[in-house]
Amino acid sequence: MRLMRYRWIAAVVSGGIAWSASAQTARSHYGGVLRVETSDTGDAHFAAQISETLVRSNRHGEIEPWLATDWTHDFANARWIFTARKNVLLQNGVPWAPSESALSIADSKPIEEILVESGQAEKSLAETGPFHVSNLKPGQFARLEASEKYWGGRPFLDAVEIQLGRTRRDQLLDFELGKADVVEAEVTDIKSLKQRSAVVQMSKPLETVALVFENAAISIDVRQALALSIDRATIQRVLLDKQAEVSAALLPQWISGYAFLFLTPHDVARAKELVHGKVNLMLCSDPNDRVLQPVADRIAVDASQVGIVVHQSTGSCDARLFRLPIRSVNPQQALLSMASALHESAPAWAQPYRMERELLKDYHVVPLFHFPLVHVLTPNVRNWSADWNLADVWLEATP
Amino acid sequence: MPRFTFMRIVLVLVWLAATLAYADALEDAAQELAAQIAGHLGAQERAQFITHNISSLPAVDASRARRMIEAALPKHPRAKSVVEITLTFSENAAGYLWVAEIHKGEVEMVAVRPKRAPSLPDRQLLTKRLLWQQSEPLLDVWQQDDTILLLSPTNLAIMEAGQRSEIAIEVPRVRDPRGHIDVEGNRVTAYFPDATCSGTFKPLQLVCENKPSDFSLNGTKVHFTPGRNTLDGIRPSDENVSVCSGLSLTALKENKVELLGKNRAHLDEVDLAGTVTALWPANDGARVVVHNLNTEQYAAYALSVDCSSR
Amino acid sequence: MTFRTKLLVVSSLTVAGAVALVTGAVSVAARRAFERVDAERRGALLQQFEKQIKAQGSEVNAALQRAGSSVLITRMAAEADRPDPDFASFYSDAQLLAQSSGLAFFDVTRKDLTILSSAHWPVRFGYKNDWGSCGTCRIGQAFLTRIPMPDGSAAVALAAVAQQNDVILIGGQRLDAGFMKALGEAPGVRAVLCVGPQECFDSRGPVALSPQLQSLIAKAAHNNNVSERVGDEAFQAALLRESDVSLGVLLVASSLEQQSKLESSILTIGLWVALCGIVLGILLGWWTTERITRPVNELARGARAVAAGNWTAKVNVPPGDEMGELAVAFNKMTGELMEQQNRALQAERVAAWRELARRLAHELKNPLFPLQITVENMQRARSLSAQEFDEVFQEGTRTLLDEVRNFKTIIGRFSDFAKMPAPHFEPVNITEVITDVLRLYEAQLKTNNITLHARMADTSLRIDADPDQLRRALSNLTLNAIDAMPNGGALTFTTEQMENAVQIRVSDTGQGLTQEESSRLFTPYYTTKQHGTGLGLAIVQGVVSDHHGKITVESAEGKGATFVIELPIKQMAAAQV
Repeated sequence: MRLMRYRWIAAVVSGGIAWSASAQTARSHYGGVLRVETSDTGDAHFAAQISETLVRSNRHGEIEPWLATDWTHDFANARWIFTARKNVLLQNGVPWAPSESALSIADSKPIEEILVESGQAEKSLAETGPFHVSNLKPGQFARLEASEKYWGGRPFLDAVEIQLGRTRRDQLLDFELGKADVVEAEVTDIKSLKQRSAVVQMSKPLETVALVFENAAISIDVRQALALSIDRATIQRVLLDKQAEVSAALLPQWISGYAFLFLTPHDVARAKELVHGKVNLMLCSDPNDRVLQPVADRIAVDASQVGIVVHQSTGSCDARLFRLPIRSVNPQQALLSMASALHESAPAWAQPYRMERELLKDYHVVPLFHFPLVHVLTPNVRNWSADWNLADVWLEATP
Repeated sequence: MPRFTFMRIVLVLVWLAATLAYADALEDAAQELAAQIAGHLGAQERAQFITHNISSLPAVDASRARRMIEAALPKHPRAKSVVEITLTFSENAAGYLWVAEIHKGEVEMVAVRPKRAPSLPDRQLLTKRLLWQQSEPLLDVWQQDDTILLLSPTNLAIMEAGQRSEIAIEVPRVRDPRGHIDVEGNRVTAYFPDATCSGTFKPLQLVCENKPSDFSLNGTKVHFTPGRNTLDGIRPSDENVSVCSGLSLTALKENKVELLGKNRAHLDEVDLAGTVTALWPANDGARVVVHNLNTEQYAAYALSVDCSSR
Repeated sequence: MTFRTKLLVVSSLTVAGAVALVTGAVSVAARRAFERVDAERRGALLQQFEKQIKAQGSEVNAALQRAGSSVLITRMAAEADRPDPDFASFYSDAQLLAQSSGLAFFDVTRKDLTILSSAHWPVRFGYKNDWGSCGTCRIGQAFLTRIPMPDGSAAVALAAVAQQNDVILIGGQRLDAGFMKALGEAPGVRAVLCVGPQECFDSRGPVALSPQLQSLIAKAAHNNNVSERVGDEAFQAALLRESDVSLGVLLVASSLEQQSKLESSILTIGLWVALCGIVLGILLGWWTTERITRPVNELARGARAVAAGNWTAKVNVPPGDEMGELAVAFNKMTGELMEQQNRALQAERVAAWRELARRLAHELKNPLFPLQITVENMQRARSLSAQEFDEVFQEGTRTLLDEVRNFKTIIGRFSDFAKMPAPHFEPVNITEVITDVLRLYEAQLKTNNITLHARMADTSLRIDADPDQLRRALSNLTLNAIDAMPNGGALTFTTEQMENAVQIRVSDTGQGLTQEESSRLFTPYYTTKQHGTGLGLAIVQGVVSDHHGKITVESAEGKGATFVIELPIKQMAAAQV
């Protein structure tokens, strides 16, 4: 059954929905201001449009040259030397002239690890991206304007206005009122949105929903019991409208290729053996999250069958239901980013499978589902992708 | 030899070349995985495989891969115990991933690239004919006899008698790059939004200048808008290809090219496996380049219009 | 306590007691009447509660029947039989049905009670319903049940079950303030429904229970229909049970305010009446006692005066009633006593004079006879020779002088007795005085073979006394004792401190006294001895009397005699008495 599911995923990967589902006309147009809304309050979505890294992970998860065009190993000095791309300008129009130290990295780690780390957003070198920030109210609003002289070609859009920190419900309302071109939607809204003939774009699974234990005093047995008690299949089928992927892995199958190795058993009998007496557990989740609230409620019902009494809490938590964004298709890069989001120390560099096993040991983190990112678009938005590659987005001119 | 048959042979050879590269990748992956598995087997142990295929790897290739892995394992005739190994042919965004679960508790895996064999070219019938397919963006293609010129944003390649050679082009990048080839005799001119490259293709040599130049489209002088993907000198709605007798070809949103008659009456259409990114006139009709968003392949077709039927 | 006070107290107590008795009786009667009425009112409210339960149960049933005919139920029924029903398709259906039916709780289940959709706990699909009792066995019946809630609490509800094709509909209405409001309230009586430890409400909303009510609820859990008074209300607790499961407690309270007011009024009136009665009693008692105690006091005063020696005391009580007659009798009595006393005194005086004359005659006669003989001898001696006459004359004059001295002594004694001086009081150590006296007669006692015993209580005891007179009195007693034991015996002096007085006992082991002798012992000149003036004990009595004490004798013939003297320690207090 597990492998059948992943066969379907493979079919999707090979012939299913790609990054962008929007149909393309004969030519993409330049111009226009795109209005986007998001529930995020930070700049994680668009930071890469402002500042760039030496290398980056493409949509196949492969590291490709970016600000650096190639890299060579300097055996004598035990360093890797990166070659800077030519004709790159900073936002202010000044040619980018990186220092030697910025282009030279000690070879104390394998080159694969160096490249993965160099491609992380935290390692951005300079503001050489396709957009620059013209107006920023942290946590509320950002206006990005196209950099005319961007080395990769001027973006199609003149500007992007991003409303930050909007709840998904408010985003849909703004969309209905015509205040936004691109908004986020929940996986459970897909059916109703399609029934209203909205342009809904669903990405591949790019968000991991996981239970993270914050209280170290909770024993491993209890954590394992809770993981075994959760009926993921039923939650996915009923509460998530079958729009999510059941998983016990941090990375979805289409990124890692080995997610099937992490089992998702629903074993109430085994769970009961692990729990001695009655255990009380405080579970926190975002009270504004319309999708995770019923999931948390169902987890409480499932857990009660094995003797774990789960109380919903807004204060101190023993465990928290998290949405972890997957910010890279490169498995190792994605895992490093997740470790940072979980405030865990980065796992030792290894094969992605071993890194993920280290993060998941002792049931400290219990992945449950993988969600696609759902966006609702106005019909004139073209080339929108869930990874917020704003430079490639364009607006079809309305007749 | 009919031109079309020759083209087919060329394409099959190209496919075979790609297939051979793919086969090598499978062989290498099998060897590597077998070596990893062997590291977990003792001298008295032999492997017994249970295989699952959850990838797009064709079944025949999966069977072949398994045989290769089994063959690559050291032989232990006197092995007394059997170690069960679950072999899963999986896949991720980067390519195939073969996973061996050794039921002592260990897991080994290897990545396989290239991902898959390109599919055999479509057998287009009379109205469309596949000229070329590649993963790198294709801006325009020109074909004559056994020579194919392929214009990409970063190079101009020539395929001749199964041999490929290419020359790099350094022009300013444009988002949604466009380009056009004009060939006159041995002279080839490649037009870009911010540059024009001229040269010959036998031998293949080009000199580029960072300024756009005019070329003719439907009898109109046009040039690419600097830094953009538009054409100056023509309205977007006129960006079609005039063929014979007042007929024209135009690209439609639904991955089709439509043949229009006089007064823009719909005459015929062809379905294409992707979005039309370029539509240029050709001697016998038009050349169209499509981008298959699913396979991320760029394909160039020759569209032939039977003008005699009008 | 005076008679007046006693009378006042008795009358007050009588009045107060009577009023209290009446007040109590009235209070009890009133309380019983109220309790009957309250019990009836509470019973009526309980019945009303049961009716309300039935009525609402019917409503719930009807709502379920209506819901059963909806399209949603039909669709769910079609899905219900599948081994793996599509819970997603009817996830929200129960909430819609609950809203349209006006029910707070609505579960749609399969026949095996597997929840297909739940209104109040939507995520519970797939699990078994545990509040619909046994499911189909309760179809058509309304019942109370406890419904687990998502937040871990439980709600008590009135539920019903219906069946539509292959699905079971289980719906319910919460028992809350709204239900209690619908129950209504009669004046003076209310109901409080408690469905949880801190979950109690009446028609006005949540109610916080006092510790007494919480205790009442705890008792009701073990013993249905417990009643108790708490504050101004009488509570009756009825346990709500369903299939041996306790779901809550219904407290029906009737206000005891009216009763309390009435009881308070009764008590107040009783108190006022009692107060007035007491005041009246006091006044009446005062008047009564005035009419009784004054004459009695007058009589008492007269009696005290008589006791003090004033035989002429008269009682002034107006005649006309018993007290007047008593006063007259008293006055008459005192008059007669006076006369008798006078007569007795006269007789006593005559007797004393007679005794004195006899004694005097006896005392004087004794020396007179030798005088006569001597003078006759001297007369005869005139005829003798001068030498013989000188001898006779010398002896005769010697004898004459001795007898004259004897006369003088006798006369001196009488004179002394006649004019005993007033005592001069000073602090005197009684033990020292007694010791002095005994030392004086020590040799004589030894000579007469008399053993001396002295038992002094407190050798430091001092009394206000005239030491000389005291010595004289004690000397006389000692001499008397010596005279009473011619053949020897034992003389015992004992002192004992009493309250405000000291007792001196002088005991001998002589021949004792008869009763007559005892009664006349202290009469001047009365003596049992053949010689003596008979003044010794009189002097003793006089001294004791001057010291405001008293002397008695305890004796029986042949058993010795004990003279008991009581002298006050302080003379001022004694003088006042």
